[in-house]
Amino acid sequence: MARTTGHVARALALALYVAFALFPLFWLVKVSVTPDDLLYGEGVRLWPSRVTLDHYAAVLRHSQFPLFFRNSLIVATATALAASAVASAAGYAFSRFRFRGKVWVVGVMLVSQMFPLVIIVAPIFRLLAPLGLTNSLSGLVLVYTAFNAPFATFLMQSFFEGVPKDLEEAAMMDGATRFQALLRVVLPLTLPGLAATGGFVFIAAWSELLFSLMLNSSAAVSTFPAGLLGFVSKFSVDFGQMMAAGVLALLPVGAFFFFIQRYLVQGLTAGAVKG
Amino acid sequence: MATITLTNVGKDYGGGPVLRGINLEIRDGEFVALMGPSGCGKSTLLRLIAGLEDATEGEIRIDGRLVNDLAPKDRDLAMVFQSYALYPHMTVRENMSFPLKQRRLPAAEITAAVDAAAAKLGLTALLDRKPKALSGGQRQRVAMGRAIVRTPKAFLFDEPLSNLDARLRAQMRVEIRTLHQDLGATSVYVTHDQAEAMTMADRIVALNDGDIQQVGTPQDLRERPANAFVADFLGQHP
Ligand SMILES: Nc1ncnc2c1ncn2[C@@H]1O[C@H](COP(=O)(O)OP(=O)(O)OP(=O)(O)O)[C@@H](O)[C@H]1O
Ligand SMILES: [Mg+2]
Repeated sequence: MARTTGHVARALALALYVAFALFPLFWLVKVSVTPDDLLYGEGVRLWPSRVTLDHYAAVLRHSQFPLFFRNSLIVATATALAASAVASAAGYAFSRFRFRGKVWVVGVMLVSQMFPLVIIVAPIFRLLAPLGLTNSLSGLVLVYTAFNAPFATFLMQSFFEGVPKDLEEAAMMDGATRFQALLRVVLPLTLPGLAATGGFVFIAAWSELLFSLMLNSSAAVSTFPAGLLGFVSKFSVDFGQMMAAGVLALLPVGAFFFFIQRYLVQGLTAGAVKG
Repeated sequence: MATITLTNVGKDYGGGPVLRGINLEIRDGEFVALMGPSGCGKSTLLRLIAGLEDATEGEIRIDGRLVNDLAPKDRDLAMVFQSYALYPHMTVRENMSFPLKQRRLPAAEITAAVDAAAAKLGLTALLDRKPKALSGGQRQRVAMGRAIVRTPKAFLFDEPLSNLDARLRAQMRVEIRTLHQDLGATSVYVTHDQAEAMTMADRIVALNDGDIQQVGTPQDLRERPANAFVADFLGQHP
C-alpha cells in the first residue's frame, strides 16, 4: 500500500515537472497556429477556437528562414564536429598524462569561461575582420569552437576517466600503439559521452545569438536566431510567424536527440572489470 | 620463449624509490613468482618488465636485447590483469582475436587460433557473449585465452586469481600450472599469497618494501629462509 502511494506520488511529481518544462514549448506551438486576429482576443486561452497553418506557409515561402535554417545547420554541425574532436584529444591528455603546466592550462581554460561574452565581442571582431572571417560561416564556426572547447574538454575528460586504464594497457600489451588503443578500445567506450558532448555543443552553437548578430551583418550568412529578430519590426512583432519559425528550429535539435538517446542511456562499460 | 634479465633496476614515481637495485635473471621456460605484502612493489616490477612503466634506473633485457626504450607492443609479452581488462564492447571471440588482428594475421588463421585456445580453456560455448554476460571465473578464463592465443616471449600475470572464490582459485592454480607446462613459456606471476607462490612457482622472488629479500625454489625458501621477513611471510596462514 505504502509502495503504491510512493509510486503515485513519484509519477505525479514527474508529471508536474514535465508539464512545467514543456509548457513554454506548448505555448510556442499554440501561438504558431493561432490566427493573427485571435492572438490578442484569445491571448490567455489554452487553445485558440480556430487554428491555422498560414504562419508556417509564410515562413517557409515568403521569408528567408529556410536560408537561415541552412546556415545554422552548417554552423552547428561543423562546430559540434570540430569541438568534439578537439575536446576528445585534450580530454584524453588531461585524463591520462601528467605534464608540466597542466594546472595552468586547466586554470586558464576555467578562467576563459568566466568572461561575459559581451566584453570580448569587439576585440574578436577586430581580430576576425582583417582575416575576412566576419560575415562568414567559417568565422562563426571558429569562434563557437573556441568557446565551447573548454567545457567540452572537461566533459570528455570525465568520460575518459570512467574508462579503466587497464583496458588501454591491455590493448598496448596486445600489440596496439597508444593511439590505436585510444581508437579501438577507449573511444568506442566513450561513444555515449562523445554523443552527449557533441549534442551539447550543437545546441550551444544552434542557439547562439550575440556573435552571430555582431559578426555577420549580411542576411546570406545569418543564422536562424539572428534571423528570428527579423520578425520584430519597429512598430510590431509578428508573433505568429516568429513562433512558427521557432517550432521549425526545434526540429533538428529534437531529431538529433532522438538519434543519440540510445547512446546516452547505454552503460557500455558494464562488465569491463571484475563484478 | 625467452630469458628476462634485470640489472640494477630502480623505480621512483616521484615520491621516493619504490624499487631499489633489483637484479634478477628469469630463465627460459621458468615459472617465477613475485611474492610479497601489499605495496612492496610487485606490480611495479611486473609493469616495468611489460613496458607499462619506465625504469628510473637500470637495464631490462629480454633475450639479451635491451628493451628499456621499447614500447609494450614491441616487447612481445602477454599480460593477464587482476581486473581481467576484457574489452567490454567486444565479444569473447573478438577479445581473443584482438592480439592477432593487431599483428595482421589472416582471418582464417585467427579463427583457427581462437578456436584452439577456446577449446583448451573450455570457452567454446561462450565465444559469442560479451564480457558482462560472463561470471567472474569465465572472465578470468577469457583473459587467459587472450594471452595464450598467440605465442608471446613470456606471460605476465598480476594476481590473476585474487577475485575468484577459494575453490575456483585452487582449480585455476592447477590449470595455469598445467598450461605453463604445455606451452613451456616463461611466466612471471605476481601474488601476495604465499601458498599460491609455493605451489605454482619454480622459483620465488620474495620482495619487501622495494628490495629483493630472497630468490630461490619454494624448498629453498621453506628450508633456508634468508631472513626473518621471509620466514615470517611464509609462516602466515591466510
Ligand atoms: N602510478 C603510481 N604513482 C605513484 N606511486 C605509485 C604508483 N603505482 C604504485 N605506486 C606506489 O608504489 C608502491 C608499490 O606499488 P605496487 O602497486 O607495485 O605494489 P604491489 O606490491 O603490487 O601491491 P598490491 O599487492 O597491493 O597490489 C606503493 O607504495 C604505491 O603506492
Ligand atoms: Mg599489485
